[in-house]
Amino acid sequence: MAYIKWIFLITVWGCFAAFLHYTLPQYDVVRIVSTYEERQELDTWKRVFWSTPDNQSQAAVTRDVQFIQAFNAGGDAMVYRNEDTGWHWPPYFKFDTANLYTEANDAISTKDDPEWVSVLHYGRRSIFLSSFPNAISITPVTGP
Amino acid sequence: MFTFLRLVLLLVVVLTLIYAAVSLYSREQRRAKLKRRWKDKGLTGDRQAFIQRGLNQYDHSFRRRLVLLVYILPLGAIALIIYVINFS
Repeated sequence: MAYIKWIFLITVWGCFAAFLHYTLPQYDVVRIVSTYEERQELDTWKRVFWSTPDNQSQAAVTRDVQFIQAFNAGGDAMVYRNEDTGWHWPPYFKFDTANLYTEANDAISTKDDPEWVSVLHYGRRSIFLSSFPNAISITPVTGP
Repeated sequence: MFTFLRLVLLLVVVLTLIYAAVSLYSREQRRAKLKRRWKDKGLTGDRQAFIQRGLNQYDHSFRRRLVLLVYILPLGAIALIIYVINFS
């Protein structure tokens, strides 16, 4: 009987911890490789992993989303999306998506001559759910 | 525009509720402190008038205005976040 209590408690706190881990900011030191914009069809429950920008229709299922592709020091591919959080949740109040896109394009570098940047982001990359962390800001750093 | 207004409405409602609760709680704490002071010092005279005078003093005090921080801190934090994320 006690098992049920423990399983329930662990599940509840686990969900809370996962929510915090998803919403709170994290830093990654990466080398930006490229950026692209892709049309997304957000008509499933996975819409919760994407933002709702104000300047596009709320009801729009299909919209264009910008992405930033990068590699970290360990050679892992990291892909971020670049979306306004606006006045919605989470309260990052990010409005400068286009500016960030410009900065990201300016920071593109090659493997031979890397330019490292620190990306502040929230969210989690999941290849199965096709969810991407949302890049909030980019700061140049000297190295990984 | 509408999401901004939605957020503003939500903030106004929630912060006003919190402000009212903290205000009332603070005033009651001051009342309890006055009553304790009356008892501990064994004061004589009109107890009700003593408490009323004390509360009037509190109403004009700086401490009461401190409760306005309930509005200032969250709005200040939002303004700071907007500046840091978008402009620097």
